[in-house]
Amino acid sequence: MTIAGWITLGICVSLVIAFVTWCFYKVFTDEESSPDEHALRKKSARKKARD
Amino acid sequence: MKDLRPTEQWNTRLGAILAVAGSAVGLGNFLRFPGQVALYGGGTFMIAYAVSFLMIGIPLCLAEWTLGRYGGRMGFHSSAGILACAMRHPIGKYIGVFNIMVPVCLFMYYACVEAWTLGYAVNAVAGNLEFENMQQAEAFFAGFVGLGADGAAATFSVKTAGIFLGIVLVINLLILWRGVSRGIEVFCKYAMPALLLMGLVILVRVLTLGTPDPAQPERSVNNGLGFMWNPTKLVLEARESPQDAWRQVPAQEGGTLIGPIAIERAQAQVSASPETLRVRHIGIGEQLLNPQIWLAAASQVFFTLSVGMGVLSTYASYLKRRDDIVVSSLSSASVNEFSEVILGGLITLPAGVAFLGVAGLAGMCSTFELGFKVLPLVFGQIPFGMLFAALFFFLLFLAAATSSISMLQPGVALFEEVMGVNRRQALAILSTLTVLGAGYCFYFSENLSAIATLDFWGGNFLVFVCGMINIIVFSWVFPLSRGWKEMHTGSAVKLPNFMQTVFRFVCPGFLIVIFAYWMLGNAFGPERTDSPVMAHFRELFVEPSPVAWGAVLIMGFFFVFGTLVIKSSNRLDRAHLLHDKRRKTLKRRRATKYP
Repeated sequence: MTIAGWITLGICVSLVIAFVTWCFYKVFTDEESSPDEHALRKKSARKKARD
Repeated sequence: MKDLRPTEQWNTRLGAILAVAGSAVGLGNFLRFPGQVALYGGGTFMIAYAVSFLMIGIPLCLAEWTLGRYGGRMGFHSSAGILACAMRHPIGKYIGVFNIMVPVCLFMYYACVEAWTLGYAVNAVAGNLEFENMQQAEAFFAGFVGLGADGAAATFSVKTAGIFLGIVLVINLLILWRGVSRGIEVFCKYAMPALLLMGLVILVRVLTLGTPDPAQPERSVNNGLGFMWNPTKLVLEARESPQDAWRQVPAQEGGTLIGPIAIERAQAQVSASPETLRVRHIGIGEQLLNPQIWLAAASQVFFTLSVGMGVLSTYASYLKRRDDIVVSSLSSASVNEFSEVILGGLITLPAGVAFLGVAGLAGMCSTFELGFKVLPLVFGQIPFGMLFAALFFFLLFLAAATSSISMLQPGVALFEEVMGVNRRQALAILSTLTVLGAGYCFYFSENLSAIATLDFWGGNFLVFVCGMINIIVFSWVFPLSRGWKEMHTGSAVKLPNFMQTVFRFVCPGFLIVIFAYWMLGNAFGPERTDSPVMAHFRELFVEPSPVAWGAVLIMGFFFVFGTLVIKSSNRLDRAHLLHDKRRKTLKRRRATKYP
């Protein structure tokens, strides 16, 4: 493989890994839609209603 | 009026992302992508691929996710209901039938290919894939799928695909039987991480192969990576006499020069006969000026992301109102790209070149040849190769299964919605139709004619048409101003404003140009007599064949059936009137009636 080939491979792999990391960082840090947050909010709402 | 009670929903956001990613990750990622890259310019192809991904892939994904969530909020999960809502015109429900017909027709032949992957995994475990040469690999494949005669694979032997097709159909229907959250979501939550993990294990094994045969130093992983990723090309060209034009020596005869040994050998040949041989360097610019690269890259992006099939919009319709569709759609696309570029781009071809060399692999870059002939032969030569072969084919099976279950969901959603039946009744109706279709693809196995015909009309032609319809509906009919707002509801990320221009002009324009170029080349170009379009037309009208007419009947039957079912039902009649205001009124009324 030529140096240009290694550079192409490096750029593609880095871009894809950066893309995946950014997306899943957003998925797991987005409080609004986090499944755990939803569950907690529902639970506390139910508790409030009971009280 | 359609009932607005909440129907099924994804349990978790991650589950929805993995289900959509599972729908996108398929055989194309591991087998079609590397073949396309090697055929169309190696690393240069990636430039066209990246541009197509940004200009076509991302906009289409976002458009389908947005339309789907909007339709789901209105209480519709099928493309017929979703498009009727989005277009605010009753014609939308009939256009939506195409979006349902395409994945159902794709499922019919995809189930057969999925059965091959499962069958090959089982045969690897049984030690039946230890081939010594390509002839043995080809003979096994021919016997397994019944290439020699129609119906030849319909036996109860593990060396034919028959029983595996039955198993695959049962698995698919059982997953769908359990529903969206308990079936599809749970399956994808386990299958997708397992698939990625298996891919990484095989990747490490392939990249550590080095030069398996020291006597043949040009057959190495390094040269395999070069075949796949070098952006510029060195080719050997020949001519009969000094008056003739230069023509590239076919890659099978050593025309593609990868690695110092091949280059030195070619230079020695050139010095011996400089009048008739030359080595030529093809740069990035020259390759990018070839429209075929753009056509191939755009097609690959289109097919790999499962856009234009109505699957994304149906899956997105099960999202909650404020679920972040921008990040979710980008996340599922990112998983697909990881599988395609990193796993697909670094496993298949480097392994093939390490054992067969560039010349040995050059003519075998189509999906089926690479997957079912080259790779078994390669795995047979690795220590513990059958273990890795079983792992690889099981990986392909998981990738195919997560895709195939998604292909039936739009049909199930349509029957549920329009006929007023429950999920299981809808699945029973749909499975009857699809099992018959899969039987057609399985039975007409001679030269894989049925699969090729359905793939051409459903998997190439109609997918493109549906993709164009979806993006035009989103950008011009919905319209984009509303779609932009809807897309960003609940989103943690705001897309840059120039994307509006991409949605409105670039993406539809790009698709139309590619489609027109493809049609012109096939129907009116100099190679039209050999083109697949003309070949299929010949099979229909000049020399009518039962296979060609069978495919037309299947697609025609499903279209007519879907249209009649929609027409005879009043459940979608007012879908086009059901916008937010109406929905709020209904909610208010319901709240007053049942406080």
